Amino acid sequence: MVGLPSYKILIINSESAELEELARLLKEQRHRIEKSDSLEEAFQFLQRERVDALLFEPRLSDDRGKSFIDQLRRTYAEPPIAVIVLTEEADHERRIELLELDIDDLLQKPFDPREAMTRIDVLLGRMRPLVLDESGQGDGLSGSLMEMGVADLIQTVIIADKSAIIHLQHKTETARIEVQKGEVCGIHSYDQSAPIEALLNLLAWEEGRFSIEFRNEIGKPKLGSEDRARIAHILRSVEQLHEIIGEPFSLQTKYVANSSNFSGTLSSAERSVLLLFLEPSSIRRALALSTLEAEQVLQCIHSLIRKGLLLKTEDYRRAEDEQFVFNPVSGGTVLGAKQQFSRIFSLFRQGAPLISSGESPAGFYNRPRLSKAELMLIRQKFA
Amino acid sequence: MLRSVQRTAEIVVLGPSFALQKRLLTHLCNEVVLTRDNCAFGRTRISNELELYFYGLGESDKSKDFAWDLVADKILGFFLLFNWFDGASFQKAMETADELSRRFDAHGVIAGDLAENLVPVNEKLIGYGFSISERIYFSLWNSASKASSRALMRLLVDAVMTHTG
Repeated sequence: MVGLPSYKILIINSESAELEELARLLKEQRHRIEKSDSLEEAFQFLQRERVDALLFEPRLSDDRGKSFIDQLRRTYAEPPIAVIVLTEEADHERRIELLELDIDDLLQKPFDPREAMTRIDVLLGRMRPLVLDESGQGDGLSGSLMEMGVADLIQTVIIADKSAIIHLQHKTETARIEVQKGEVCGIHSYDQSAPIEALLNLLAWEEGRFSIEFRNEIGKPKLGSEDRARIAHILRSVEQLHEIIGEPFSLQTKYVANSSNFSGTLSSAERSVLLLFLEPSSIRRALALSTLEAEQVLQCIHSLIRKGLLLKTEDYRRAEDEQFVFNPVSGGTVLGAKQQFSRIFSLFRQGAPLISSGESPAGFYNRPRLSKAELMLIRQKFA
Repeated sequence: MLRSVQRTAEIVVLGPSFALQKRLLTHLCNEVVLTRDNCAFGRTRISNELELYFYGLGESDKSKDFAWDLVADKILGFFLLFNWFDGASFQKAMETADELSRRFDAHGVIAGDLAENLVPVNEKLIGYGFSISERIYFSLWNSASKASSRALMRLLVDAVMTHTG
């Protein structure tokens, strides 16, 4: 089984109790652990075998650790080896000295096992982007979720018309998605949640690792036909949105809908979705946060984009920047609100053509030619 | 779903207090939308063919930045609201009124809000108003009263009707 990405990690001087503990934890995570008793022995090992990371505790009394890292960087520049140093030094200056040794991360004793594992996973995930799996079979794929999201992974397998198990890991949480002949047929989440809910949670994972294990056969589908159809619909919607807004998968709004007196322009579902984008947010995150059905969230996002109320974050920022427009009419007055209002006008005025202007009075602007009957109607409305 | 109407007219709501603007819009509109940067937009349908849009511009000095040219085609009038008991509010309202008179000649109602008053005010003084120029009316207003807000709206319509004969 290919499973989660497995790394080869060399631990130097593993007689240290803490290093021994780290070795045990890393083994539990299915990483392959190699050991050497000294820096010299480690270097000899590296000449024979390739590793993904080095873990050791340099002595304070000599600079052999520094020489070792220098030589390592010169010899193994590409692909780089992650160097993680364990230290009991709480002294700030000493920690900086260690970081200046060109190491990749520093774990301070005593360490929290979960934090240590997460830091090592994140570091390795960053240093080793998408690569073909090294299982020797040539039939797997592994990499970072920062480069391929869960939706992309599923689509990849579906488009390839293959059957596969997608293994996912985000911090200490793991999940598995089974795809068979173009269809998601099983989702197993770390928290045993229902399949649709699990999928939505997984779509929100933006960091972590994945590996795809291609198989000839997955077995009998574990999801019912209704769930499979819903999942297909969700994935299609995500893909369509992806096509509309591209990357980065981030949207933002500046509009807040008032709930009490608002009935026509936005539905209550649209209002609740809009609120999720007051700060830049990905669609995946919105799916995870919303209490609405996923299909409804996606439909609302479509609708809000069409209405101009949701913008790609980069467009939103550009619009903000462009507010400072020189206005020749007002002699240089900054028209800060113009774009914002024009967007709102376009929303409100949809389906409502301009009333033709009457003759301009003495001033700069015209006014609508409402008939007396229309004015009477307005007056009557507010009587 | 957006509804289709044939004709619309627009009303701009100004003044140093966004809270007052929101109150007026809530009283006069069927639908109100607030934006994060303190603007309020509302609309109310008058008939199958006519709809009114209201734009509350918020507390900042947006009247200078406002896209007047975008609403110019359809502007019916404006409301300029201030707190009758607050000298600073009155001062800012005066500055806005000066700015408006230089740039723009729509009909308008300047309204002093009495909602914070500690002494009883004769109801007849509220919402009737008087003209202070050919197009501009002044009125006292009780922002806590929907009836008073509706009276302001009637006053604006009266101003337009009087001027258009």
